[in-house]
Amino acid sequence: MNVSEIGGRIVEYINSELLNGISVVNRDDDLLESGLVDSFAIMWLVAFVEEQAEIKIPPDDLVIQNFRTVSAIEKYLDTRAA
Amino acid sequence: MNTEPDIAIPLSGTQRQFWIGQRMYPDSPLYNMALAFDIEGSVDPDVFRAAFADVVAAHETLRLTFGEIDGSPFQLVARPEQSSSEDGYVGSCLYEYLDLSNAADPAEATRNWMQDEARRHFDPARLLTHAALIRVGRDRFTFFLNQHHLVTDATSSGVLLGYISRAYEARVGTCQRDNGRDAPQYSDYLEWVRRARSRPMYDSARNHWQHRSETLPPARPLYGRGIDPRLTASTRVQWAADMETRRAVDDMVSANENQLVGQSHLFDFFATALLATVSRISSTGDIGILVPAHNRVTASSKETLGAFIEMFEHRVSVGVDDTFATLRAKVSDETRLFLRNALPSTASAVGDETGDIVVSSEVSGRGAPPAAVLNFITASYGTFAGLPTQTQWIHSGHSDTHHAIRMQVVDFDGEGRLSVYFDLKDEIFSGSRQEQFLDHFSAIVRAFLRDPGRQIGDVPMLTVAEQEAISIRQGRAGVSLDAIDQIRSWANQQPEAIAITEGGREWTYADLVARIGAVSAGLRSRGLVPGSVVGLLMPTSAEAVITALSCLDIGAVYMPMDPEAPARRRAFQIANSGAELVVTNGAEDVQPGGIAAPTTTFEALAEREVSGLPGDVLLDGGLPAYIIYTSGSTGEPKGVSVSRSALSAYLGWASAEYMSFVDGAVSMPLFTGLHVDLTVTSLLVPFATGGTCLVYSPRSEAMGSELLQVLDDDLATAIKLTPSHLPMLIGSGAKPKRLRALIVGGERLGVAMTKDVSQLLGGSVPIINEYGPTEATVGCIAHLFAGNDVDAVSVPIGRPIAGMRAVVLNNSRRHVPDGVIGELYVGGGGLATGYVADEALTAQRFVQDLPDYSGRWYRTSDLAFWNDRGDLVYVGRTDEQLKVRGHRVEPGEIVAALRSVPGIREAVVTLQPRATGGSVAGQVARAGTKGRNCVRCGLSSEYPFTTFDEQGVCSTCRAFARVEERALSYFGREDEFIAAVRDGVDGSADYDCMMLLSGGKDSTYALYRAVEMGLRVYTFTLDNGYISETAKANIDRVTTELGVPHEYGRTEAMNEIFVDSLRRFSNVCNGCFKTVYTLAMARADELRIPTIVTGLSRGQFFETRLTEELFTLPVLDVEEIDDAVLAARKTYHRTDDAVRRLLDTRMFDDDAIFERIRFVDFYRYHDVPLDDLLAYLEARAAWVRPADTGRSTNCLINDVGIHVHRVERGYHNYALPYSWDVRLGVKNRQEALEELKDDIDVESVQRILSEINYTPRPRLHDLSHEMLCAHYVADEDVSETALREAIWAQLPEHMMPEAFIRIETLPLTSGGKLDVNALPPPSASGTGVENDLYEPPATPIEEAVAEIWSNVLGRERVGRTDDFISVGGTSLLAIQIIARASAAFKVNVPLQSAFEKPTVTQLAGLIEELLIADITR
Repeated sequence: MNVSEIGGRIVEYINSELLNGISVVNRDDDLLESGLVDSFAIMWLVAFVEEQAEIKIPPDDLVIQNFRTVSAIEKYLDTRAA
Repeated sequence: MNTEPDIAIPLSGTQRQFWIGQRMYPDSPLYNMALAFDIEGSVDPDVFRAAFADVVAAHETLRLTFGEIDGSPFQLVARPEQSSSEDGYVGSCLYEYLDLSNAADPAEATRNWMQDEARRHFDPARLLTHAALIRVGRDRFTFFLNQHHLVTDATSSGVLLGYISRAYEARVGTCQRDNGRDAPQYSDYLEWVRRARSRPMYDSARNHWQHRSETLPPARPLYGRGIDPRLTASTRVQWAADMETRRAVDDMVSANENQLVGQSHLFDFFATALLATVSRISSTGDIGILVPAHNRVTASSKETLGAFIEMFEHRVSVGVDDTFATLRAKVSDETRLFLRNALPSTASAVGDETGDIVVSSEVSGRGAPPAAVLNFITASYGTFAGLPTQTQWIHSGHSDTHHAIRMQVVDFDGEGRLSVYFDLKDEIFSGSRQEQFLDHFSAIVRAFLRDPGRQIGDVPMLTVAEQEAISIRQGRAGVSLDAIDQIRSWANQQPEAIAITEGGREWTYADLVARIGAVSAGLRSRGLVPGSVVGLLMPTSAEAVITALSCLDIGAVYMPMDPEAPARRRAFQIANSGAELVVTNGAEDVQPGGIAAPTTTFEALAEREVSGLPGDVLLDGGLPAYIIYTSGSTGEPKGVSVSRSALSAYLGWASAEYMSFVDGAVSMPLFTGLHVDLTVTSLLVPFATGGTCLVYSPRSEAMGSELLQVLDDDLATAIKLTPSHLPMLIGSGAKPKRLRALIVGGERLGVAMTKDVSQLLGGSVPIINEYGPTEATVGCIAHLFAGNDVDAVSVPIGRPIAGMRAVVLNNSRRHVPDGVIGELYVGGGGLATGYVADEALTAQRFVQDLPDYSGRWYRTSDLAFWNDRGDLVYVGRTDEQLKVRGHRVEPGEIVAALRSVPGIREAVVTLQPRATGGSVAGQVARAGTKGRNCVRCGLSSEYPFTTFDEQGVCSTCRAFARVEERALSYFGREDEFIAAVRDGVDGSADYDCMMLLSGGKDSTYALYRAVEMGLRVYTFTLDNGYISETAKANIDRVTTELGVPHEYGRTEAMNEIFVDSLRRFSNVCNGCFKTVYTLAMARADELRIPTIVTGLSRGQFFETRLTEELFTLPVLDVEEIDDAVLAARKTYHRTDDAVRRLLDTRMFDDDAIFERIRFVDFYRYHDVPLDDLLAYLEARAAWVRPADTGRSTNCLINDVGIHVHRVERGYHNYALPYSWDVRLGVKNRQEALEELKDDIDVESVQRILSEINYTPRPRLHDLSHEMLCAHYVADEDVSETALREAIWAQLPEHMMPEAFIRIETLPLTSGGKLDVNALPPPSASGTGVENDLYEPPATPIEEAVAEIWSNVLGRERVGRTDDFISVGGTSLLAIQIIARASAAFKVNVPLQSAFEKPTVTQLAGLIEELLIADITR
């Protein structure tokens, strides 16, 4: 699965599983600023990314730059794949 | 509107915890969650009510009730109903409207009403929510919402307020009704969790929490107090920060740190502050706090009513070096782990089939849970219907019992201003403790904000109130007394008063002054000047006292040495102290080895008569008075130099203190060695007060028994002793009439023991617990034992004496609060000058100016705390140092000695609780029982495992009576003797047999008879160095008369063998016997003599080879018994001990020698009554009954064995063989008892003991609660002897461990330190080498065999691979085991298999084979 497919799944996961359709995000929406995803939920997102990309994200990579938007996550996954 | 019927659903993990907690505390409102929303504006009560009913109808959480089937809870969702128009139940909620606006003070009335209602008891079967709208004034309302935690949490309350607000607005038309979309329900959440649990992330989370629950750190008391699990009451206090702190915290809230997890910087800040505070008010180490996770991950769960919150552990290790910054970094790492793993329903890794928690670790008590909770609530509550709304949280007055501290950080109104509340459990934070805690927390937060780089331990926390409390506990100014000035003054006032007594001798004060004058002159004439060091190498005696006083008189420094200590140690002390002279009591009492200084005797010193003391010489108070050596951690002892002024300060206090109890002159017994600092009191206080120093020189019964003489004499008005002496005092039952004060010091004093002593003394004798390291001159802190000490385990050590100070500090030398354990520092005029010739150590232990306290202080390395009454309590050591019977012991010294033994990899020496059969009091009672004797055989009741029936017959006689007939078949007829000797021998050798001739009556008789029978005999005697002259003469006469060749065997190692035998068996005979057999077999082999004939009596067979159990075997086969005895003999010769190692025993390595040389016991074939035997010898033989041993034995050292055995084991070592002689008809009871009445010459025994260098250890010592115990890791089994010898060679007797236990590895704590608590304790059998590589029995037969072993060996457990000999088996015990196993399985187990199959597994295997053979036969 390529990174953009994973990105699609992440958007889907956020909207259906975390936000339950109550609100909707797109690839470039700020997940954190909006408070849509809180400290516990972000960890579920991290776990989902790990499951989908079949990687383990080290604690040092758990920084805001990598998870602010779905696009940022995709960019992070690109660096991991490289 | 829903119309479904009621449905039952399972509980979530969260709910289950609350449900179980409520079941445990059914009457406590500990799970009430009460909020008050103050609304400014107009609210229509009727519309509000209807809106509330709308919400109840829409949310199943508000219609829940709880039930239970067979202890399993369930929850029932009731059908939604339309609201009624009256007050009362709405769903399962109680709703009411109140108008308190007419009250005198409506706000006050509302508050009071809510306070009461917040404590309402909810019955989960009926009611879980109580709501009330209160009219407080015109356009002022309060909505009160109190819910059981089963149906709510902090978020849920806010969500509920929002639903009510929207329903209200919909009804008044300011907004639309909900558009029909079903509100998310709690059962949806349960379903979501069920699905989520199959996610991979759950696996790692479960592992994480599982691991955490397995390594729970112990709960630490706060301010010295633990939680009382019966109580839930707590008090909520608000933390009011000062302006500066307030601003700094506010800035942090608004700071936009670039963090993935919002506000985690705030959480980490408060978690760090809480952990730091807890570490300072308990003790540092692994500290866990509980942190709730809100568990609302999805958007719809954020809108769901109900209990989601779940407590997870957040654990950080606070090290002594941690600063706020380093701790915060650890907290931050842990927070990340927490967030990743805090998944719904994983707080406990134990799940049931519904996917929910069965029992959380917190409830199940699998470990002590953390004591502090950090509840960082991010939820804010918003407003009601657009009106200004303020939220307050009302405390129900109760908390979870384990939550000692619950810290709540909240910003309910979302204004960016945090409020901090603490719910503090009442039993810990009583009285001023709440305020103190807030002050301490403030101190930590302030320090954190100012300097994150500061060490947490170094934060000053001493409050003004604490400062005042500490200062009033310190010693007041005192008066100094100089001992010599006092003696002079008493000699003028009362020249004829008795100053010293010892035995029958006494010295008046006039005599004393004269003697001191003479000795002082003698010292001066040898060139000693003020400051010169004089070594005292003398046992406790009047002469030693006078010498010490004379040193003080001329300003010289006395340095007392332990005459029992190894020469190497004494030599070190002499060299280290720079002693210019060593005074001894005469050559025979000391071993002069290694003494490098000139030596003189007391007699020589005192020979010149001098009239009176010379004129006063002004001596500087800074000069040392004495040097006393204590155990040092480096392997060498360290000398403590105490100045004259420090000594005078102590003496001034002690004299005044004890005179106040005695009401006059204090007479004290001096019965401990001068080399112990405790003794200084008994040495000098009598002279300072004009009383008598009652000197008791060491007696043969060894340490401590002098006390019995002291009590018997009843001359002392005050006695000073160690807690180890107390069992002996209790055991003696003495009620000394003159005693007015009992002073106890030197180690921890137990309350139970002290109460017993107090009772024994009629409750009227004051007991003073005196604490003091040598470095602070004898005693510096003291406590008068009082009835109200009984709530503690240890008697407090009390408060500093006059002129002294004491403080309790942490590792950063900061004050620790009352109740918290820290290191005791003492200061004041009584401090020692320092360590002799060790400036570095002196500088390290004696420190100038502490952060919180100025002045010079000695750091004691003792752990202590201030109790509620402001008294100090001693609890242990900061270092490894142990206190054993009043001695300071550095385990490092013992470990170093053990590690010198080949094969030992690691060792650790600790004090372990003594496994005892029953209480100390019970043992004392038994020890004090007057011995009775069996009416048949005369065996003493002191003999182990002996019981008596109603007729007074002992258990051994009763057992033997059952087997007697069969037992006798073992013995042969006289005519069989010759055949036995000649059996299988070709007669080619020069001699038919070697006979072992002791010179005693039995062997002499046997020799005569053998020669009569025509046997060609070679005689052999072991000259052990102590054979009586009479016996030697007898041997010479009888061998000459009979014309048989004779030789004496000798060995250089004899004394070492005696000592080894005394240490193992408390007798000399065992060592001697083994030496005889070893040397005789070697010699017989050289001479090609095929048979050795012994003169063992029939009684001795049973003592050493046979047992009555042998004759309970299904089939008694004499040959088989002989095989077993032979197998036992092989083991015996191969067992490691002094004989095995010191003699040439290589011949025993294989079996050949046992085939070449056989043993025949003469008395197996001859049954000669004592009278006949003696008559024969008198009439026929050149044998004379010995007169010089005081009994019919031939050996002088035998008396030593008898004496030591009596002292150490409490009965005669011949008691058992003689009782067998009686049973077998060789003696009658009267004869046996008469023979046991030895009149032992104690002086000669003592002389021999000092020759062979052995000090008996009376068994009363075994009554102390703890024993010195060595655990070691070794590549292979190491013999106990090797371990003991390594210690004997290097260290004094009191440093010898009582038990040696082999372990696989040293147990470590999670912090990597030695886990002392995990060391296996010594078994009930007490001493000896133990192997702790325990494997439990694996089959039913192994279990049965192991049980037989443990019964016979007296061990609590026996593993399947334990080796019989290494777990303490002897050949006699082997026979018992085989006999019992045979009886139990009804098979005939061969006796020798005890040695051929030495493990439980092997023996069980053999039994199984036999059983199968039995069945298939």
